[in-house]
Amino acid sequence: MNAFGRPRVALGDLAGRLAPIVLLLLLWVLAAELFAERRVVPTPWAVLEAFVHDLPVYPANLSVTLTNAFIGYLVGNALAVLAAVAFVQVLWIERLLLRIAVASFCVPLVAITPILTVVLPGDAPKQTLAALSVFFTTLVSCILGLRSAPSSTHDVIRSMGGSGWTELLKIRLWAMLPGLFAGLQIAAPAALLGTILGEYLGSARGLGVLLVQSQSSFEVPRTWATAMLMSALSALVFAVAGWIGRLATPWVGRDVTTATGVAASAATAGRLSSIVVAVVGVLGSIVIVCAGWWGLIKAFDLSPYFAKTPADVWAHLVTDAEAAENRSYILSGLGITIRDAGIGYLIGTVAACLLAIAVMQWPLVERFFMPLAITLRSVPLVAMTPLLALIFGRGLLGVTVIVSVVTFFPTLVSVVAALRSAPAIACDVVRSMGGSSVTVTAKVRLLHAVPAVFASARIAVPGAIAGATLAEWLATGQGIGSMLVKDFAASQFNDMWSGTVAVITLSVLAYAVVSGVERFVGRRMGTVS
Amino acid sequence: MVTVAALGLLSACGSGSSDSASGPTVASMQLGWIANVENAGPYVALDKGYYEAEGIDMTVTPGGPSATVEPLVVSGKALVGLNSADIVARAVAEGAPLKIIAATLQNNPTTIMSLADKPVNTLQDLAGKRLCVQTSGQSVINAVLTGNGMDPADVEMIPADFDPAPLVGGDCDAFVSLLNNQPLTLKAQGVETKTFLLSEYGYNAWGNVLFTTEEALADDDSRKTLEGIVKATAKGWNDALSDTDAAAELMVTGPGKDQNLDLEQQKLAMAEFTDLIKTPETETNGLLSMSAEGIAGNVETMQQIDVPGDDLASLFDTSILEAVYADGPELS
Repeated sequence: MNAFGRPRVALGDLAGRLAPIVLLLLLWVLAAELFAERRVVPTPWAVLEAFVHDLPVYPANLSVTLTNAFIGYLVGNALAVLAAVAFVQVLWIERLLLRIAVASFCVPLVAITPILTVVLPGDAPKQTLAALSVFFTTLVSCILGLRSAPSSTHDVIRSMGGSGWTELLKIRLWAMLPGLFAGLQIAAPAALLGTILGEYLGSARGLGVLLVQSQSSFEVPRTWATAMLMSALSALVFAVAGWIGRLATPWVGRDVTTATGVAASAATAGRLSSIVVAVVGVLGSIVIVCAGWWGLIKAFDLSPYFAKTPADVWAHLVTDAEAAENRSYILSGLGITIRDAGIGYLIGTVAACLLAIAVMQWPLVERFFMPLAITLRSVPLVAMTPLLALIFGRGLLGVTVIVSVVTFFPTLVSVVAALRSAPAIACDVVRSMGGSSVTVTAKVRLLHAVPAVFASARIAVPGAIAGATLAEWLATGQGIGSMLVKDFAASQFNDMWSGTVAVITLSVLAYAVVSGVERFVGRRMGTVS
Repeated sequence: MVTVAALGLLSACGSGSSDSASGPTVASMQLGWIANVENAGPYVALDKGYYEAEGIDMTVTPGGPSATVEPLVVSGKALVGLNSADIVARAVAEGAPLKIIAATLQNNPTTIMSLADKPVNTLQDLAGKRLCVQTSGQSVINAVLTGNGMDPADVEMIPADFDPAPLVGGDCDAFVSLLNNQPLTLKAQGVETKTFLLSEYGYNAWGNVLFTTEEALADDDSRKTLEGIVKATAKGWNDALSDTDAAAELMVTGPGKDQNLDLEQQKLAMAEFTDLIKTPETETNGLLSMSAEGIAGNVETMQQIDVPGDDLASLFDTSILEAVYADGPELS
């Protein structure tokens, strides 16, 4: 993450930076030779040739994709910041709307694209997909930041007669900035991916169209050139967002606070009233979702053949003659999806934590793996799946790898940021007592990073479910992700909507479990009052 | 782009309502796939001004792997959509008020493709093999297998998209493709393949049919627009088929310019299209025609692949074609 903003680049340093690139190129050539028969991995020079050949058409495609991605990125992030502030300032808004934010992140794209294309004009559906891809991750990062302001400072403001809003302006917004910039970084590749998936709906030009064209023509070097261009763009936006973040928040890791970040909701009242609050919150969320869902259908007079209402889904799953059959159809798919997402999440998280620690210890690891991690995150899964499926197969291992890639990245970014932002004073104390950098990591940084692991779980767990449905569609052909696409192709919209409701319910439940665990761990570690 | 779509939206409200006093009727056509030779007919018609000549200000919107053609037509955002006849039939079975008014691909192009050195020659050969198929196309394959006395469970279905890499890479033994698409692109890349058509095994659904809403067909003004669209599109295809190289060149330099389409490959694909679109039947009745036997064949196919519906023949409305070809198969 420190690719930018280092003042001195010595010659030796430069060599150190080039080494991983050379190594990667060597591995690539080796893979190309190894898989030459299968024609799935082209040689670097073939890709370069394709890149040069396509240079003249890149501007037209890039401008369309980047414009849409940028609009979606801007709108999605702006809404996320506003929502985060509203959630933190007014607790009942969070209780009602946070679940809906989770739903916005996990809603299977195949379910909403028909409505988006019908309701919105021009490129707006693509921009909406980009915005949806970034909204939730930024929201969670901002909430984490807003809540990370140490309680002692809150008390000072309160004791001086400051209101909640003074507190917001004087402390929380500043505390939010590191989280915001971490969120903006994660959001950059996501916005690009959302736009490209949007271009799969149909577009005259754009990187997604280029990808479809070259994939369907089996122009493998072109596919790779396009995919690598997308990755390079994502990495660039990622680096720029990080650089701006460091410029804007120079105090991160330098302040004297000893508190660890706390993402958990504010303390709850007594047990009984907290149960009442929870029940009211859940019911309220359901009412809002159903009202919005139904209202959208009515407002745009959407055809009942594809726009099923909550009542249709209820009938399909509960009151119809075949309701039991319909339920078991969806539950069978859901079971597979839970397995796929769960295993992938665990492996992705463990890998991310290990790598984050390694990054803190050995700068070389960062130089080598961070670009690789960013690349993995930003290569569109649709382009990468055939390759991953070839290497890892189309069974549980393949889907696990794909889900791990999805969950690995947000966890890695959050955990590295948290390890870094461990208060300098606490680190210095350990060092002055003769602690090595390993001791610093073990005693201070890890403690500081635990909330980050759980905070990123808020993103990574729903992300794992979304990733599993995508992998099921593109690679394994089992599970609810595959079922939804089949249902859509066969115009089985009752099944598709019911499956979508099931996926969203699963995601919201998983999110609630993650939050519960996070609060529990926070209390055990004494970071939540 | 936004303005174009906004125009499409306007046309949607009146389903192509004509305002003859103030100029041409605005209408749009939603394609199922990206702008390449598969859609040469509409693009040639656009290029030659055939829609304009019919008093239509036409927008042709490309599709893609996730295109949502039927919802767009049902909602009126596009007056005409393109998709496979059986896909439209399934939407109608779920309550979409749609009618098929013309058929582009008279022979279904769905093909089972395998590598020439490891050929899969017949449907029966698929038993015990791994078949790459688009997730969305699995129901058709299952139905064709069952219809031919085979058990779908005997064939290992492997999800694939439009990218034939899994076949070449050895992930599967056979790949469900379009006759005029993947086998040609693979040949262009030096990979020889062996193919057989699913139509040999009873899958006779027309491809790239033009469909619209019942509401549009019930309105005199939009009927005129639909007649104009079908006529101009047929003329576009006629030109494209009589000079396939020119059509390929138009696609490469025009709508597909930003995709850097490969001219040679587009020429090959375009030539391959000729036999799917131009048949003895269309020689007699004109391009895009829907003969009684053709409709019967489609209905039979749909029944075979379990498309629900008691009166599947009513899905096809030949009245627009009849009006277009009132004076015989030649179009002026």
